[in-house]
Amino acid sequence: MSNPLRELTELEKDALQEIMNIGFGRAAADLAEIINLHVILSVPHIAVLQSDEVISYIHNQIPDTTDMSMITQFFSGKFNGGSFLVFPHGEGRKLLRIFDGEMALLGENYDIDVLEKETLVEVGNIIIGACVGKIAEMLGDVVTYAPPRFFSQEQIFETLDDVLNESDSFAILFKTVFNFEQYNVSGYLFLVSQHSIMPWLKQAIAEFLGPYE
Amino acid sequence: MNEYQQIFNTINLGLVVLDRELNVTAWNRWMELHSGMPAEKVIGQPVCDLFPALCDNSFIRIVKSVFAFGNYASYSQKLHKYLFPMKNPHGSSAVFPRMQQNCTFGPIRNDNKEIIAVYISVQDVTDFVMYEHKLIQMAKIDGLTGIYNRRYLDSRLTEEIERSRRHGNPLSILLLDIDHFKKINDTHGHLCGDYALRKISELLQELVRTSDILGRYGGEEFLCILPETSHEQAVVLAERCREQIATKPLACEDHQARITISIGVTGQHRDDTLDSIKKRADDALYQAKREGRNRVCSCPAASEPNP
Repeated sequence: MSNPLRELTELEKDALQEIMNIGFGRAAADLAEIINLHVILSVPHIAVLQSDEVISYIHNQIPDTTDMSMITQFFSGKFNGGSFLVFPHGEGRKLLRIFDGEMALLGENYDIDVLEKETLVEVGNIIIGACVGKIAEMLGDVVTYAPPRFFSQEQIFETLDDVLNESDSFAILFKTVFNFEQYNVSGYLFLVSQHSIMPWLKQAIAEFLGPYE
Repeated sequence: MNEYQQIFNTINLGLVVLDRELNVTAWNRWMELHSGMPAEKVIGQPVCDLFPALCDNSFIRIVKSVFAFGNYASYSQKLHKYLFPMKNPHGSSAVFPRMQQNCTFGPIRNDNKEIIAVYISVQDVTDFVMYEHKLIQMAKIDGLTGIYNRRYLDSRLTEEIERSRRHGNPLSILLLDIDHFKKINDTHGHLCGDYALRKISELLQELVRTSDILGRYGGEEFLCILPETSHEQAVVLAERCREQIATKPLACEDHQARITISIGVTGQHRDDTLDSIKKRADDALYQAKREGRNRVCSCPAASEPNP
């Protein structure tokens, strides 16, 4: 257990916490300023887990998994991994109100499930982009994104099962709870990174800490 | 032209690049072809001047977010129909005058990894949308009469019950049945029976209001959902339908037939379900049949105080 690269030291953990706090704060400020989307992001929680514990961890974090929907988007750079934006118990549907004005033009022939999916894809990847982008930026990296994908109900845990069962034995997990004031929508954002980024991450944290030492 | 430029200009996809001021900096052949605007007229122009309608909230939100966060973004046909207003190049322009599009956006970075531009890809999905449109139509229209089918009526009625409960608006339904329909079939043949069903559907469609939802519920049975209509108003409408049908003789081949209908009317109760409201309409219809047909009977809402 004492392989130093497997674990973050307390100082590194605190620093990473700080990076996440600032990063998410900036992401929220930019979302409000640039696209007028007001989101509150909770203080993020960071955990280093065995890969096979990730799913049960996520499962345990969400008290009510009924009527759940999820947007996933993979990102790559030195900071790489997957982001999972989870809307439990029908919260995602409330985001449809973002398009209220335009929705009126669609008439009545539309399937609400399809609209929810398209809305979450469209809005979800902006939120993911803001959060992941800002953290990467603070760690001195630039990431690129794969197209977002939408999953609902039982597909969600199957998907998590598929993508998280990496050969890598550890995963670094970041969790935040978000809330859109305007729409009274809340959910979870999980970022899961493979353990292989650890050497780079430690280096990036050291550089972040540099000026303070 | 280098090979990427060749791809850019020959790919079967619209490709557009916008700089930070939202000026167009690239416009491929596909875009020229479908928009009718040549690249030299478009390059250097603000996209919002070229397409004022395009600069709605969603488009601006997406472009700004791509510049700010470097994310990949989508603009889907399901939510927005299309991004660039262009003529539908397929045979379906009567249904969709504009080409239906799925678009994606992404950042373009310079060597310092700064985002200097946004690309937009435009995919023509009109054909898929048209298939979908036809399937949706087929799934909710009755083949013989061209009015809604039972499946659609049930789902709409469920929605309307929910809506009426939420907003506290009244809701009523009519259940209509052609009197002695079996006799028409037996004496004049099935072709005449089918003709009668079509003709009565047509007449009813003209009699009900545009906000009413009329469909064929079973063999010779029709259901009409009347949103925001009180029980009393529904009875008046039912009576008008009954009377009009009874006074219009139906000519099938060389026969003249007089057709009448019986109608059961009911309004929504507070705790109604799809089944309970239909059951009351059916009971009222049964009563109309029992009392001699060609009449309207109603089952008033029990929760209403008696006058």
